[in-house]
Amino acid sequence: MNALHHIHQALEPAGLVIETQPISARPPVESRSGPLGTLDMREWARTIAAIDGQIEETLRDGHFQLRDLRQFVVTDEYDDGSELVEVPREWAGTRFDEGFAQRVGHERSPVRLHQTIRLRVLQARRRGGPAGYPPRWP
Amino acid sequence: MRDAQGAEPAAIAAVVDLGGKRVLEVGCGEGRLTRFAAEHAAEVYAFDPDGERVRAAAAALAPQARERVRFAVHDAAALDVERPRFDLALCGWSL
Repeated sequence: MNALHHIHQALEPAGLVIETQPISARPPVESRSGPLGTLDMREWARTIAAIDGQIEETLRDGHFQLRDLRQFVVTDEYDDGSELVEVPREWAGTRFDEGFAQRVGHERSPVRLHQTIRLRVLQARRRGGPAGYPPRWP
Repeated sequence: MRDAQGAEPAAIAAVVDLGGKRVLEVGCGEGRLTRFAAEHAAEVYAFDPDGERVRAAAAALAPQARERVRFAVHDAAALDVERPRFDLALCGWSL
């Protein structure tokens, strides 16, 4: 049973799930002086593909309906390059090319990381409910 | 600073009004979205399997917002599901 099944049981009928995930395989990094390169999040992107499979399963089995799907960009700001190298190193599925890490690590000015985020709105369905259920949303 | 411009809360606010809602925050981590939820929802139940991160999320909240949030340390499989009691589940980078 995946997490969405547990969440479905905790939701009121027609309750909503707001789900966000970073989906960039190569999110760009820049400083004031220009682009510095990209993080390697291809492994993370594969994890997202597995999560997508679980979500599609819950859509197929009638637990949820997809109500909205959109993307936006989140920008994280770091005091300098060394902080950016330190923090995302702890993230799952994220790798640094050594050349990139050295180049960014020497950056003394603030650096920014731009990640594309996918937002999905799922609406809980009552299994075996009447036709037309759940009611139209919003 | 993570999401210094508040793009993620703004995107969520554009698709749903948390006002008066009972919110289940799945995998709250260090509270990246907990403050946003606490400022708008009627009540928030925020959980994460990492106790240290949950403590950090609780410590980051202002006292007034803290009153509307109940924190717990567990994973999704350990959710109390005796009866449906949430209007909305917020899963920020956590599924």
